[in-house]
Formats: sequence, structure tokens, C-alpha cells
Amino acid sequence: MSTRNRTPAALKPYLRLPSETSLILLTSTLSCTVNWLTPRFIIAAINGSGHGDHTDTQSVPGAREEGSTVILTSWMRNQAYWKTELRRITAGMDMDKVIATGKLAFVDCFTNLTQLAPEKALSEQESRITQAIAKANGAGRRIVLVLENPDILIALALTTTYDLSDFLLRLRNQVHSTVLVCNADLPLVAAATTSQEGMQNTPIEAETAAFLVQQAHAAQYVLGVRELETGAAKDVSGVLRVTRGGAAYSWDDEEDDVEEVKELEALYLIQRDGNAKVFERGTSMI
Amino acid sequence: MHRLTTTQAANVHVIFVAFETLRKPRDVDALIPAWSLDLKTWQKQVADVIKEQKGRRSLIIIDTTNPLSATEASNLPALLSSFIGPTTSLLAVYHLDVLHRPQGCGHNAYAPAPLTLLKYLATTIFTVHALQHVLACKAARDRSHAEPLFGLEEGTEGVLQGLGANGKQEIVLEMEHRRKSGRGVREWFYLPLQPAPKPGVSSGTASTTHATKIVRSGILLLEDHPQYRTPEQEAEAQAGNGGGTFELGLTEKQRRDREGVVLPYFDAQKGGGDGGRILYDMGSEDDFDEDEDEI
Repeated sequence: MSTRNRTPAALKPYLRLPSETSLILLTSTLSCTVNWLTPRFIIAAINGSGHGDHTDTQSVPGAREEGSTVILTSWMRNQAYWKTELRRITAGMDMDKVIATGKLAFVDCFTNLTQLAPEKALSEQESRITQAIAKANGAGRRIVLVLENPDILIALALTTTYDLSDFLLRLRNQVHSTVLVCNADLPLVAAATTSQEGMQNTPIEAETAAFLVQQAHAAQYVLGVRELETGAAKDVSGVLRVTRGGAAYSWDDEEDDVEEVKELEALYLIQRDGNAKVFERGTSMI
Repeated sequence: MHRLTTTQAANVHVIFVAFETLRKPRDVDALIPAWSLDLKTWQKQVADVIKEQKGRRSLIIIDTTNPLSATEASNLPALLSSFIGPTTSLLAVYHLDVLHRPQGCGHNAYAPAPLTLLKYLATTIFTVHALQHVLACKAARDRSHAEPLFGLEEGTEGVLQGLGANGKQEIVLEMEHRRKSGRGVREWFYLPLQPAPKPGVSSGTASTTHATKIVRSGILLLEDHPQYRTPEQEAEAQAGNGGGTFELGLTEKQRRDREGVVLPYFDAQKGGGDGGRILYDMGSEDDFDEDEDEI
């Protein structure tokens, strides 16, 4: 399970295990999906920040070398998808085997999503995720929770903004840190802009925008991918922007030795084998 | 993104009512996880903590009032005022960009928005801006260009935040303070968040900022900030010259010459302390007269 050379160097600082109770927000758009980034967060968390790559001079002294248990919860995709995706990116990682070792757990909130009674959906899913956390707690490893597209619950009118953010807070309270993946297409966030003030937005527009912005306020940093302004290109898949979220200011004694995460705006290219390159604007990636 | 940091003044009890914070921030004395409690419970907990202080000054911080304004829209002013007393102050954060959508059918469509009520209630309103964005807007204004937009306002698909947001170095505060007389004061401030690095300390360790050190390191008016001025204003401020037609300064040579001048009777000014005396150095052409009165 070699992941060396598979993680672009520019991304490494962001994949380190973040501080306690922190939230990282990944945003996706229809034309540029963040699916290439999510598995890299999962793999980095499972393997630990060291990655077995001891030449990495960027690692902070005292950085958490040991890996964490990842609980992957998806509202958008099933286990078969993730199995293929993880194998492709790591060149041969078997998801079933990793699950058997207890380093990864998958909670499928996707398959039965539409069959659930609306009033029960959230509590049923919460109890399943909580069970998975409780099971993983015994192993003594830190737990990283990856939530993929819980915003779909708003679109399906199964919950409201504030119920969903309370749901997230309850889950985040039980784990070390959380990675949240959401869609940030323009129609989903446009309701939060001042130009839309006083306009009647549909409930889904308004609720999704409120949820997403609220999570960005709570996030330590936000990684967003989007299409190039000039459209699709052969040698550029999209633009990656990393910004500090609203929780970047939580001054804690423990965080003093953690380097500040730098802002970044870079281009990326996903190759046919799933390999990703991240490079500065204006530089060639070869 | 709007976010306030707190400093703990001497002997003030800080109560933090958390709606989106999980971990207790530094310098906070009591954390009340309001997100997991119902309204009555956390209200009672806050009241209990205040009572325990027995008149000691306390500061209540609410990390976000957005959930409250959705669920308690009409009740918000009464709810917040109930905490305020002669020894208690309240600091509440409202995220401007989180869309307000009142919940429930009982909502009165004619009631003012929660933000309007909060602003009406407040003694002081701080709005937080990123310095980089303020400077970019000013540069555009100076040239009569349209001001740039950042973050969500950019309207670019997939962009939530503008670059330069939430900088850890400095922020710009827009303050509106209402005096008791009713007169309002409006001012823009520059607030550095990192103390100036001490000599001999590498910049890496200087980032170990303590919240209490932050404010002492110098808040200044935004218009006094070097980057906010135009180069012309900056040159003028540097020269410190009122723009008169006289040259009031000295050239380097004039200054050196002036320093070289020895004032007459310099040693007399050091003071002998024995009253008036005539000091006279005899020259070679002087003829000493013994008959004269003693000097």
C-alpha cells in the first residue's frame, strides 16, 4: 500500500491530522468534483501524517505520526464506489481488508436514504454513525470522521439548517476531527449574497446556503475546487483554493506549536491513472 | 468572515455561550454548550453562573446568535436583555452572511429582522473586515473604479471565501459606538493580532500569541495606517512639514558646524558656585599691573 509520490507535495501540509475538534470543509462544484481530494484525506488520516516518508522536512516536531481510524459516512455514494476509488488512488489498497483491521469504517447513509420516513431519517443515521464511533473508540486510535454530502438531506427536505448543524456538532463532539464534503455550486450559495437580499429564495436555496456558510464559519480551513474561468482545458482539471475558515482564530495553548496553514490558490490536473498534480498558476506541471 | 477574539481584562469573569464551538477557548472561565441544551436550561445555567459571581463583573460571550434569531426571532431582544445588568456585559456575534430564515408558521412576517433588533439594542457594533480587502477596495475607490467583491459576493462558482480572509496578522474593525448622550461615533480601526517580533526571537516562535498580549501591541486608526494612505499623503506625513515657504530644517553640514561651536565662558556655566567672578586669561601682550586691585 504505497502512497508515496501519489500525494502532491503542495497538498501535504493540508492533509496533516488537524487539531482537536476541528472541522475541514471541502467544497465541490458540478463541473469540478472534489472526489479526488476526499480519498487523499482518508488515506492520509489512516496512515498518519508521517506517510512513512521520513524525508519530509515539513513535518512539525511532535506531529502525530500514528494513524487514525477513519469513519467514512456517505450520503452520496455506496461502498462499492469507495472501494474502487480507494484502490485506484493508492494503487491496490483493499478497502475490505482495511475495514477488517479496524482502521476504516464505512457507514452507508446513501442506499436507504429515500426509503426512510422523513422524521426518523436523521436520528436513525445518527445512531448508526454513533455506533460506528463507539466501536472504533475501543481501538485507542484517534478518530477522524469524513462526512460526504450531508447537505443532500436539506435538498431532500429531510432536515433543516439548524437541525443539521446540531447533528454535526453532536457527531464532531465525539471524534478528534471532521472532514465535511459539500457542494458549493452557485445556485446553492447565491441566496447568501447581498445581491439576493430581500428576494424570495426557495427553501432549499436558502437553507443550503445558510448551512454551507455556517459550516465555513466553523471550519478551520476550506478547500474548494472549481472550474477554470476559461472553461475546461486539456492540461488543467480545475482550480483549488484553500482559505482559512472562521475557526482559524481559535487560540488554544495546544495549537501554538502548529504552523499556520497557508492560503493557496493553485491549478490541478487529474491524470488518467488517478494521480493528481498540483501546480502554481503559470507554471507548467511537467 | 466575522469573528471576534476576546481579551480577558483584569478580574472579569468570562462566560462563553457556545452555539458552534466545541472546545473551550483560552481565557474563558465558564463554557456553556448551548447547542446541546434547550433554551430554558442554558438560560438557567448562565443565570446561575452570574449569581455565583456575587457582583464581580462578568462578560457573556455568545459565539453566534444566528440559530437563536431563527428560533427565537420575536423574543430575541427580551432574551438578550435579560442577561444584561450593572455588572454584566454581553458580547454577541452575528454572522452577516448566514442567511436568516425564521422557522415555524407562527412567524410574524411584519416583524423586523433579528439583525435590525440586535443593532438597535447594541451599545457598540463592530464589523470585522480583512485588511487586504479594505485596501483593495480603497485602491479602486481612489481611482474611481468599481470596488472589487470578495468571497460569496464574487459570484464565482465554487468560491466561498476570498483570498486574504481571516488573516492572522491583522484585521480592520469598523466601530459604531452610541454614547449615552445619544451621539454616535463611527470610526475605522486597524488592529494587529500579532505582537511585533522581539529582537533575537525568530519569527516562527513569535507566532505563539497570547490573546492578552494582542491588544497592547497597538491599535490605530485605519487612516493612520501606512498602507491605507496614498503615497502622496505618506510622503507628506513623513516630512512633517507644514508646507511653509521657509526651510526650517538643517543640512548635514550646518548641523555639524553648529555642534562644533564652543559657547563663550562654557566652564563658567558649569558653575563655580562662589558668586560673581571675572575670569580672564592673560594674553602675551598683557602687562600685569601689580598695583591694580586683586582680581
